Amino acid sequence: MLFKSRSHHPTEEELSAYIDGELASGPMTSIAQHLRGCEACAAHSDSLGTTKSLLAELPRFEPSRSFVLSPELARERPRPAAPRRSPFVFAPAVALTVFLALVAVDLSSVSDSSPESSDRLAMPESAAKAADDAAGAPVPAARDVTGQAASSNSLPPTGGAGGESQTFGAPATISPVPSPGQPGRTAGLPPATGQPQAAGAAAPPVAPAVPQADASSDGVASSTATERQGFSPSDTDSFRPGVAASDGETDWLRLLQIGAFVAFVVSLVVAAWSLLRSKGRT
Amino acid sequence: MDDRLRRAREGDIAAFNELVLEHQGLVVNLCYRLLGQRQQAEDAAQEAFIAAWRGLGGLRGDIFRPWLLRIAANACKDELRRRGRRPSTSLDDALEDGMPEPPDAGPQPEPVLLQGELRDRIEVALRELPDEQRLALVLCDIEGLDYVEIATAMGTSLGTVKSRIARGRARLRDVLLREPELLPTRFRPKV
Repeated sequence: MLFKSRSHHPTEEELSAYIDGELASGPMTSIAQHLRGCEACAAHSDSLGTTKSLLAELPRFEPSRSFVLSPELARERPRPAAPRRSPFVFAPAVALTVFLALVAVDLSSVSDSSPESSDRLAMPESAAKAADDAAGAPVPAARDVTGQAASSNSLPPTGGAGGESQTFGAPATISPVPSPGQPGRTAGLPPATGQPQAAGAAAPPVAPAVPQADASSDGVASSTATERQGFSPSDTDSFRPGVAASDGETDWLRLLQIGAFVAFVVSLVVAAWSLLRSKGRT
Repeated sequence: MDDRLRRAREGDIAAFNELVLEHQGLVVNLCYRLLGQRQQAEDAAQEAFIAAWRGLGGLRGDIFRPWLLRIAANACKDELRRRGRRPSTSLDDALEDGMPEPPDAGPQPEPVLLQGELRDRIEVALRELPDEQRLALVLCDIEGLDYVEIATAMGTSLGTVKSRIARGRARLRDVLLREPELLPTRFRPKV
């Protein structure tokens, strides 16, 4: 409080707080002493005190009805919202971080490419698209699966909270298995260099080598990935996503990646569900 | 923590209704001072209690009263926004709306010192204050909250509360002193 001495005239704010008894004991005493010796300030204080008293004497009224809530409303009450929701909200981000970390570990362990691993690209169409979307493919127009590309682009590009709302648009596409679309909701995550590994990770560990019967779907993964790296589709052969699949350590890594990815998708669904539930109540 | 509040948080609507009964007079009077009309004040109060019940999970600590008043004040702001205007400021409107009458049953308010024109003048002057000053002043001088509770109810700092109360009170004082003859003798400034 600014008021410090008896000779100093208190401000209106100080006088008001003084009337309300909202000053520390020091300033209260000082102002009380000042008011005893300063007629102008005393009159000022009196008028403010009068105003306060008049307001306090305004008639109050009793409500004409009771406001108690009916038992039906009890069903509408959300459970303690914030504390319960937050784990759901952040779980996708955590799972995704783990997944990306595993991809990064995988990447750092890859110093060489082996031609044998090229068959990893021959994955089911869904897994290929999933991996592609997970990589935040910025050039969807060139793809056969335009629907997927469009849905991916229309979503907020962030994980976490953004990811939850993203699931509102197409909950039906969400499944525990890496599916097209869902991974795309991780938009904005993996660095470009993570694409090949993301593709490998999203594929089932024993992904059946799909014959080139569906050449276009195979091309989705390879061409999109290569476009981002400045390669032409014809360079696909030189594109090697990882080390030899027979490596035991890498297999473990793959399993972990798949586990983390599945956890991400599941937690995304749970987060969306929990958000929808809480919003439905408000 | 208030046992009723704890039980209400666990989903016990009977416990919450005990809190409603304890606070409904406070809430409805606050709404009346902010909206200026009795029926709308009761509607806003009901809305506030429903919102409070639904939002109970978001209440931190044991500060139910200011938290509830904040919800009520926000309900009133929403209502004013819907109306697109301030609470009725004309004396005629205030009179036409009918000033609240104490119920037949139940305790009468304190000896009614403020009658007729003076009461109307104060009501109108109060309604002419800026929203935030009016809310702070009502919470302080009419509802009797301390500054800390008011700061919580208004979601602002103590300094801002002090300032709003001081300015609102001074403004109201200036209006009243323009017609000192209306003031009860004991309140008239000494000449």
